[in-house]
Amino acid sequence: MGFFAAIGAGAKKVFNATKEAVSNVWASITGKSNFDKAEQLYDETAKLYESKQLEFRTEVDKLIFSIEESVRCINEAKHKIKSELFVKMATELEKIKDIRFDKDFAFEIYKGEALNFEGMNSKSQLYKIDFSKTKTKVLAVLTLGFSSRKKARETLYAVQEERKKIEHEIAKMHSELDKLRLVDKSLKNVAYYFTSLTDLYEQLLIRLNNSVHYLYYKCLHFANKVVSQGMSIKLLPSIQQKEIEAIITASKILKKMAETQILTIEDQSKVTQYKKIMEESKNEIVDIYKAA
Amino acid sequence: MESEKIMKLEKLKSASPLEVSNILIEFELYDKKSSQEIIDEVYEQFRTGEQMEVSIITPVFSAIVDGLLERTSFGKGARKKGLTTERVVQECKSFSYDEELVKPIDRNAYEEYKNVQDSNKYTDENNRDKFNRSDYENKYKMDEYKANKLNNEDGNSTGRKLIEDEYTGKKNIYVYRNDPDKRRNDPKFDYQAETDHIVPLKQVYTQLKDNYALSNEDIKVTANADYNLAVTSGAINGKKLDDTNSEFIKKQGNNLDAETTSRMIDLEKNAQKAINAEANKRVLNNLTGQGELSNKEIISGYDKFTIENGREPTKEEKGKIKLGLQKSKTDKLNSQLAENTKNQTTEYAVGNVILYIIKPLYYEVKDIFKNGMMAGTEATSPGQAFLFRCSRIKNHLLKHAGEFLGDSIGQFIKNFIKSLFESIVDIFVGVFKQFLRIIKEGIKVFIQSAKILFGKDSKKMTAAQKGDAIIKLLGGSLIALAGIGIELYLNKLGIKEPWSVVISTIISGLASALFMYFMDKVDLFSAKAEKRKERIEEIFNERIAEIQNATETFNVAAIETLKNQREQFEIISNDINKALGNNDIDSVNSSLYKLAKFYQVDLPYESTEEFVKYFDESKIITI
Repeated sequence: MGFFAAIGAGAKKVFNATKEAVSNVWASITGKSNFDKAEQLYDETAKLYESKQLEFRTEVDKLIFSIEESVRCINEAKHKIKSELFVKMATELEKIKDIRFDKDFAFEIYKGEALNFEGMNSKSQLYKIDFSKTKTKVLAVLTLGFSSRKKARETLYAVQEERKKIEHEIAKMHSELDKLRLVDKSLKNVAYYFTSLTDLYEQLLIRLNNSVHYLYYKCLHFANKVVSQGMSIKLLPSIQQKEIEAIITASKILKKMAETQILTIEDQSKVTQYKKIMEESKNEIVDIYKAA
Repeated sequence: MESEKIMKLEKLKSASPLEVSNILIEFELYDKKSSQEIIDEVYEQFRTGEQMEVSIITPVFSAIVDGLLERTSFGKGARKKGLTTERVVQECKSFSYDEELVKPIDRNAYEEYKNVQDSNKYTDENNRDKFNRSDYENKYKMDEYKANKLNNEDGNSTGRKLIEDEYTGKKNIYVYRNDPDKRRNDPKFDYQAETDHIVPLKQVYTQLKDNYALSNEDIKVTANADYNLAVTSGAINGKKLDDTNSEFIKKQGNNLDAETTSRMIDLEKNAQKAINAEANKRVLNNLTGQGELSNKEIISGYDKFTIENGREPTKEEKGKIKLGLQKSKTDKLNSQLAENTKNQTTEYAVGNVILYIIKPLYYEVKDIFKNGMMAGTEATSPGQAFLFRCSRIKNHLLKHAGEFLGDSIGQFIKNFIKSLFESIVDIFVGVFKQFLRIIKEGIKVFIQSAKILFGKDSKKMTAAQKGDAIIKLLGGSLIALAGIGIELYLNKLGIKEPWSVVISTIISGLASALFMYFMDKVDLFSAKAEKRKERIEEIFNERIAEIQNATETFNVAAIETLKNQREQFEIISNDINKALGNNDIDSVNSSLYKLAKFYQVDLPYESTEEFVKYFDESKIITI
């Protein structure tokens, strides 16, 4: 590098260093350093909040989908209990006893709470000063920096308050997500309970069929005694008695499950409409089966 | 955690598996108050309402009451004990049984000044309350001064008869009556020279009579020094009498020419400065054992020696006698100073004790009026409640007695030092006195600022809060000093005590209240904004911690419940399936009973026998 070039480079370095030093002093006097901190914090907070909101929305969508799946499964099970299983059970048992049951069931719809979180206030709402304006610079000089320093400080405080507010909203988001995860888990459990118990009930129904026929034929054989005593299950061997006991107990359990409102109570009109749709779908399947 | 949430968690743990989902959905982990609403509430709190009462109404009211109380001996007595309205109101209002003892707030410069004024009265056995001219006039000096005007600087006679009138600047007055100016017909001796005290003798006496650091001799010498003497015509002196030069000029109006007016004003200014300087010098000498003794005192000392020793003292012994007398004068002065300071400090201590007792009393009376006698006492009758309250006061006083005593001793020493300083400052005069007062106040401000910047509480304060506190400290001190200035100015205008004290107390109190209010409003260092931000952050941090805590507790309880229920169900379900596989209907039924209990289903039977009976007896089985 030539001599003059070296001098030029050195001078440039000194100039830049001086410029920086003067800028720093100016920033301290006018409060621009605080204002810059406020700007940086605002941008960081905005980015953080945006990313958290996106995470939250994605996770909520997943969970709601899962919950709705569980709810659909529960509704189907309830419908099966009332329209098929209990019908079969009643059909079998009415040979020996009048059985009554209500075909209505507590229909479930997941009505998730509207999860609204507050947004960030805009810069114009938070900032007390604008360093890009000439008026600000003039005022800063005239008041020896007092006015602009004060406003810059207050701007920083306002942004710090906003940051805390956003952290509060994020904490709420995490809390709501945790709650939603637990609701999902709980409904998955309930759906599992329904599935398992309907399978069990079907097994018991098969056994019931045998017990009822046994009683029926025994009563025919001892017709004279039946007239005076009626179709009493006392006439059955103890095992058959217990089979019937099992099905009745299981029926009472399933009735409770079908008729309990697990989620929110929905409009009756919506319940009726959905049941109608379910009924029509079932009839369609039965028709197709019969045709086959 | 709130009790309601705890109850809900208990309900969750004991709920049926079919109820759990709803309970989980309905569980509120945090209150639904909007975050922006929380911020707005804090802003509002800091802006209006309570703040107004604390920052302006109470101080203004206190200032007026304090001022009016200056008219009464009760008010003065309370003020001497440091019991100003503002202090009593502030400490009583902020009192709480749970909080630590509050250190008494420092008195401002004006309060200290007023208290010392009351204490520092001259109490010598030679009562100086009445002005006796002969005690303070030195005719010999005055005649000597006049006679010397006939000599030049070398002390030789000028040979002239007429001398310069120091007020008019004209050389037209003659010294001796028996040697008048024959060119003039002067039957009334209007043109005879007379020696005048520029600052009248009575005025000097009034300025210095209450100063116990100055003896009558000190005042006499100060008033009759050359700087306070001027030769003038009989005409002027006869009219001036005991007026000051300014008062004389005002009365004469246009009768005096500009030259005379100007000379009289200058002489008066210079004379007063010199009197103040001389008085201060004498005070300092008296304090340090170098005070001047009067001839009477010296002769009295020699006579005492003669009587005791039966002979005249030698030259050396005379010297020792003089030193002894000077030392004795100084010791007397210092003990007077200490006595006055001790009395004032004792008054402050008594005031602290009174307030120590009043605060819990005020608390109980306020509580009785606000909430009733029995509130917060768990008593079953008003009598019992009264006894409870008395006992509470007594316990509080005894509990903190040790701490109060310890603080009181420390406070006593501090107050002694402060009062001593103020007493010493008060025995000086003029501009020097004001200068010393400013130095004293400056040292006080410096120490308090150092406490703010570096003391044990400084770590809890931010830079803005420290700056705000220091500015308020400086402003408060300046206003207090101004209070002294206002009182002195009112005295000059002819408004004497007690009204000068009343008015200046009210004005300085109002000025202080308005200054603090203005400082709060302007918030120069954004200390208020910073406090507000800290409050908001504190609230949100608490809420975030609560949310996280509640969520974690909720998670733990819910996961445990779901897990237990699932496990229980699996066990029962497996048992049923196993029993069905083994064709063991008894086990199936037994497990079904468990399942019924699990789902909280009420069965009308508990065994096969009961079931058979139930089945046969029911005409219709309703599922």
